[in-house]
Amino acid sequence: MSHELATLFAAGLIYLILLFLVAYATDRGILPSRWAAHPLTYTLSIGVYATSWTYYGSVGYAAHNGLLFLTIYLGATLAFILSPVLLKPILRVSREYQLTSLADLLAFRYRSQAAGVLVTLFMLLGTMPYIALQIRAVTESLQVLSNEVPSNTIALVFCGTLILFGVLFGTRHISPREKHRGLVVAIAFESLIKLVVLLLIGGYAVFRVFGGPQGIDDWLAANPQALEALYRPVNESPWSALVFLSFAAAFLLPRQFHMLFAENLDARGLRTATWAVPTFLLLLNLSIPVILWAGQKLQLGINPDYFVLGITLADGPSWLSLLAFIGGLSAASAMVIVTSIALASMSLNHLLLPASYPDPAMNLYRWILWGRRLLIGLIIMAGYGFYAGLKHSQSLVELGLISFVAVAQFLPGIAGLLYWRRATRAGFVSGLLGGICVWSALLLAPLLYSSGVLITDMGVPRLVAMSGMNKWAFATFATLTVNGGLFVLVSMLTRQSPGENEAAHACCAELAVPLAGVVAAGSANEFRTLLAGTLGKEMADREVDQALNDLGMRPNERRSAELRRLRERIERNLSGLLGPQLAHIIVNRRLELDPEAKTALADSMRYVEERLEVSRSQLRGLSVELDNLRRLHRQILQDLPLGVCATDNRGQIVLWNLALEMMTGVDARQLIGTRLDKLPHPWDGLLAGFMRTAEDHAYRTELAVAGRPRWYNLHKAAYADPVVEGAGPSRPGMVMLIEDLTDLGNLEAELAHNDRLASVGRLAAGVAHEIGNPVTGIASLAQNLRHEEDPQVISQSIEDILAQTKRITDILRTLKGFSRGSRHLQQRETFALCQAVDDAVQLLKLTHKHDGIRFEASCPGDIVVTGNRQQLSQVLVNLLGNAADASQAGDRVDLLVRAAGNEAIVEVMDQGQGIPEELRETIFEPFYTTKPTGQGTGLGLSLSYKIIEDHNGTLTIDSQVGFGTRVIVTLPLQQPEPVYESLAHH
Amino acid sequence: MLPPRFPINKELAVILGALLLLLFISPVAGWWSTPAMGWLTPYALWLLVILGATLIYRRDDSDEP
Repeated sequence: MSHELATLFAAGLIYLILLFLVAYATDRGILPSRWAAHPLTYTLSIGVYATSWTYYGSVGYAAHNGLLFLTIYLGATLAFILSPVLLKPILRVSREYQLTSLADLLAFRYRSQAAGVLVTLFMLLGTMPYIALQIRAVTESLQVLSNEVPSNTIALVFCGTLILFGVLFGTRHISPREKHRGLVVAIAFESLIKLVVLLLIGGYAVFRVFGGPQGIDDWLAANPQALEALYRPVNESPWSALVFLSFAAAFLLPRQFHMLFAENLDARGLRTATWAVPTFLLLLNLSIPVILWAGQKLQLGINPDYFVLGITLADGPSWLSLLAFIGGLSAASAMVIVTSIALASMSLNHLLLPASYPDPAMNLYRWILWGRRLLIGLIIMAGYGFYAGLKHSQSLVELGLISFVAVAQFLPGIAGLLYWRRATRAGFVSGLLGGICVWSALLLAPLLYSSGVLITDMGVPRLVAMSGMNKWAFATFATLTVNGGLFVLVSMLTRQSPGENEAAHACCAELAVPLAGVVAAGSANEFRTLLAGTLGKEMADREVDQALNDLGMRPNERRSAELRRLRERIERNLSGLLGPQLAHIIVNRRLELDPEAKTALADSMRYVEERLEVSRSQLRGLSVELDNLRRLHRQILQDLPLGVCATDNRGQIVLWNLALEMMTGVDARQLIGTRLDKLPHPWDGLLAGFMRTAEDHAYRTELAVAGRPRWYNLHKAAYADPVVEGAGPSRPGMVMLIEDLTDLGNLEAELAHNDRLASVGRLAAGVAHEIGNPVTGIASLAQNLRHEEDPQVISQSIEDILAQTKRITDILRTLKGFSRGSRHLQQRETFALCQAVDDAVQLLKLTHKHDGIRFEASCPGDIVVTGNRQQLSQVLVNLLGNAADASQAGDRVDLLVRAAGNEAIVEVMDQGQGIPEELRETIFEPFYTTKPTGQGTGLGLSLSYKIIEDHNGTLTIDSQVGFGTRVIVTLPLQQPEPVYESLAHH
Repeated sequence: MLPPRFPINKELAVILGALLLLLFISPVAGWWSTPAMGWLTPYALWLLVILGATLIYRRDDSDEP
């Protein structure tokens, strides 16, 4: 049975149209976006590893080399199992620095355009046989199915269709930030098709050709040489070389790198791929031995490479052979599409752009887009040229393995990238050149010789025969020995440039290197102007805006640390568009770093902390413990119930803890790196002012916050440099503690208020008596007025009533002033101390409890203090009350006020029993009282002490038992303006 | 005083296992690669390797790149 060539052509075309529709529907959102982001879609897209080599060639390879065909997948399995230490770090670096290809990655690590060029050229050269292999597989499958030799036109149409697909769905976005979802889903769809079809054909072979699983056993029992042929090569040939080659190919081949890293939508997908990709490969290969034996049983008489098609043609329905053809087409097309897209990106960044950078007046985005499109076409057509130029004497697997040995040459460079910071650019380039030379001599030259391009095989077959090794094992060993040896040797003999060293640290991620240097440009707008010279105005604006957006930064940002971050982000974004080396050169030239400026501690600290947060899982051993300690210390500072702010030697904020965030309402992220005088009002005046003063402490500093007064204690100290041995005079900055006293002050005020109310309660009887007397007088005067007609007497009575009323008013005013709410307590005024003395004496006279005591007050009217009159009255009431309580009837209590130097001195003296020595300290404690229960709260003296202390005064007691007590209060005559106020306006 | 940590973690264990597998794959192959073992044996061993790696990584909650 065979098919018409036209039928096959139509079936292939329909399939490719379906592929277009799948990609189109995904890009347009017709298919749910979660499908594209699903880890299984990602896994299936990585299944692009299985090309027509797997689909057709595995059966042929198994026919000649038995179970060795599995090595190509066991190596890939190994690479995915090692994903956490191999693929995950590469994914991290690729995503972080927007590297889209292996050439980008290696050029970034070794800071070398030459490395990028070399990798790209070698990748192009090494991959051409592989692309040719796919085109050949498609044309040969057509020949097998139709018994006709297809013209080159069909191969050209196939190539043209793939170019169209690559252009439409592989270059929709030029930035690696935006992924080609349509491409990913289409490639995953192709993987699914080839898996399902291969399993279907395997099932067909088992149940139709052999009549069921028992039929296979029976056939194998009758043909033991078939099983023997499967196992024999395993014991005769070394596995290691092939496993090693496929291990390298699994993530270094351009298509693998592209799907694994460049098109990775979600980093978590890699975790699923760790087990799902090996499982996919296992299922894909499950049918291979069965198809091989089915072909042998049916005695197909065709190249075993095409037994997949042959068994369906011999005894199967025509739809199955068409399906088998579609499976092969999907395997080949997926490889060509993804490889060409990956190689186009590589070639653009490392060949085209460095060789012919466009005029900045042009639209660079459009130039890059069309450059990629053009390159996709060129690469596929070059593959076609390779296919057309080569004689088809090699098996599919042979062509594939030549490419595998080629990509294995990048392994030393990758090892250096991931694990050897000492590796140098010279070492990498010389090693790669050595590997390429040996590869060309051992594998490329014989291929060209067999195709008639070269006239000599250069004696390679004899050399391989002399080694006694398998051809692939010898080529692998020889190329990697030369490559690796040169890589290590030259790296040991040469030194890294600073850029290389920085990139090496970034790749190894073992140490966080702070962003060194300060950008000369002072704003984002200056960035735009400077970049426009190379990128053009439109692109410069878009890239700066994009970077600002990525970082969540304000366009008017001027902090040096933030501008340094902006510069780095722009470089990373440009790296995704132009390649890392070109982006590095452009940014270095246009956005120069100030060579004189040093990196601020704030910038270094933040950078190190950000890096530690990102790469915490990569820390090992003592580093983990140190990081845990760092976190603990930081958390303690963060959660401290006091505001903590630290600055570096430039006055830039390096620490702003949570309590301070709560206190000020200012987010730490907006502040780190700024100076204290750039803080929002009123904090700028308070903190920057305090930082400038010589005093290390400021108590009860008042600050109006949102229109309300608040009070703070401030403390500061210079901290020592922890890095400098012996510290000594090295002081990189200051640390400041801010204690909010407002709540405590309010509580104290409430307490004082309650104490005063208690005093008022105690005065109540006297007050009632004091008010009762004038009221009685007013009542009798009013009664007399009813009958009085003499105008003179009436006038006198009215005067008397008014006088009595005034007396009542005075009593009430005094009481009201004394018992006002706590919110008035923080108000300060300048007043004559006599006023407070008069208030206190008046109040005490209201009560008749001390009727037998004589109060003698002496107070010059010119003694003026600043403070809270109400509070000072309260103190005097307490002191006079205590003195009166300690006195006997007929004793005298004296209150003397005088000025001495800058102080006002108030003395309250009684003639009581005095205070025993052992009680003199205790009486200041709250709730301590010597009075009977119910007659005192025990708060009076302790509150008085606190109030006087708050007025920057002192309260002392001088007492002699049996001779009375003298309480001495000192108060400053003048209260200076708060410190912060004067500094705030400097 | 911080408790000492044994410097071998699961990644290192997997790397060592993979290296051993690579080095000894040929000798090990001699053990199972006889026709008497049946043709599905290599696949079963392959599956076991996948399951083993999956089990090792199943509680890996480390941060992603």
